[in-house]
Amino acid sequence: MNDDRAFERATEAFLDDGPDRTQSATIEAVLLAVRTTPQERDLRIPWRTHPMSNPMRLIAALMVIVVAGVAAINLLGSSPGVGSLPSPSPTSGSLSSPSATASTIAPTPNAQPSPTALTSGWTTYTSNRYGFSIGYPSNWALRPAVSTWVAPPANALSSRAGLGGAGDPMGTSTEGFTGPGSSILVSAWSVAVAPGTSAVAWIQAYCPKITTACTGIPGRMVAVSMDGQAGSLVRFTDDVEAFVLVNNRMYVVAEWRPDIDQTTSPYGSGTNLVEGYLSTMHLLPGGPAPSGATPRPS
Amino acid sequence: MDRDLVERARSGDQAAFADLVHQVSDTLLGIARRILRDPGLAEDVLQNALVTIWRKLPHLREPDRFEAWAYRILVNACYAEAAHNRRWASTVRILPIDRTNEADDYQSISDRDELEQAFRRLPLDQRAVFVLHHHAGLPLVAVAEALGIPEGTARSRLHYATRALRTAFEAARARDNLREGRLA
Repeated sequence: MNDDRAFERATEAFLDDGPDRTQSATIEAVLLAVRTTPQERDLRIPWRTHPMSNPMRLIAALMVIVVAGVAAINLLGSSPGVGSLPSPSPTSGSLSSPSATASTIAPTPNAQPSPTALTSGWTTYTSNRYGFSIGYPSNWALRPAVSTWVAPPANALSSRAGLGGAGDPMGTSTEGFTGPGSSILVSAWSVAVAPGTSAVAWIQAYCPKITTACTGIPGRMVAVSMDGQAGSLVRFTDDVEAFVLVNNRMYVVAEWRPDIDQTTSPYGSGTNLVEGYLSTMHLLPGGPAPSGATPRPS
Repeated sequence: MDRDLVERARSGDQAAFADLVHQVSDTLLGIARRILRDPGLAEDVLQNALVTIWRKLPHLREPDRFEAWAYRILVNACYAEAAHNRRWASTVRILPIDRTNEADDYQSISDRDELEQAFRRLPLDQRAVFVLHHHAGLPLVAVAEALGIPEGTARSRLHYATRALRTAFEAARARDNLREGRLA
């Protein structure tokens, strides 16, 4: 039997295991509790029906002014560094001026191992399919791509059919590297880009199909490099991804955990881990092999 | 779901709520039982969740979204129960097994036991996404909405859960193949 089908059948059997009939005693206990449990009031602010006197209006206005003034003094007097996000780094001359940053993206702590220290002793893997070699920690598991990634249609990954399909970058269409205990996944792949497409335009089109926090991407791009080529790293809500556009081909390295997360902390952060992977990458001279090529471990 | 029933229950009609309970309790129990892997705890959680649903019903703005709203209350009740009761993490398999299928051979029992153990090792948030998607049949966008998390978060939780289960399943298969090889 096909392994995927066998796994699906085993999972279905596992989930279908056992009855789902609520005991009558449970329902009776609930209904008994309901008899003596008042519902919470849906609090809506009622409109005042009686007019406010002029002296009361004056006092209320003064209080509002005082509160606003205190708040303004506190805001202006606080240190500009506290709570601010890191300044965006320039990535390429084609980028437009940075726009607002996403408030959900946490800054990366400063004290982190350097990519060189992080990647010491890593194993090298060569992806003919995608045209690069890349290192990965020796205690991680390699899961070579078995098909070629294609950008999914909008919302395709919201469906059961789309998940794990050719457009799912966490699936088997990308070169995958899994950390100990399957707790963390890094994917790497590349895809042809229409000539004339800028990196920013491609990332902005890619983001809503794959991940979340897609507003203000230009302002959140951090400069990185891969094999001497300039690229950008973006922290999304649940993942950190690096994009390097070379000769109309986009190379992507993605770490599928939030930047600051207990699973990424052994590596400093998700950003640091992605930068570590990037530092080990080298483009193959001939580029990607024709589709269907077999990867060669090295 | 009957919108009229939800609206009547929301306005304090206990008889309407009783009808609602009869309509949704089995579904909610199935979800809780699969997340917690313990029928007794699942009944406790269901009971607490249904009383919470009753208390909070007046806050439900859109009766058409009752089910997703109820799922969220149920899953939060599972989290709360798990935080206060470690039984869910340590018990051995106690789910009743339907043995009516005579073709239920050693392999499938072995597969299920392996999946059971792997599932118990998953964090509750991954279990919740896996169960709502694969058992309740909600699309990921609905799972995300029900749990109040971004769709990307739901997808990555599902991915990690599926990966862990698949790894355990494949390891069990490899072990069984090895055993068969030795016996042959």
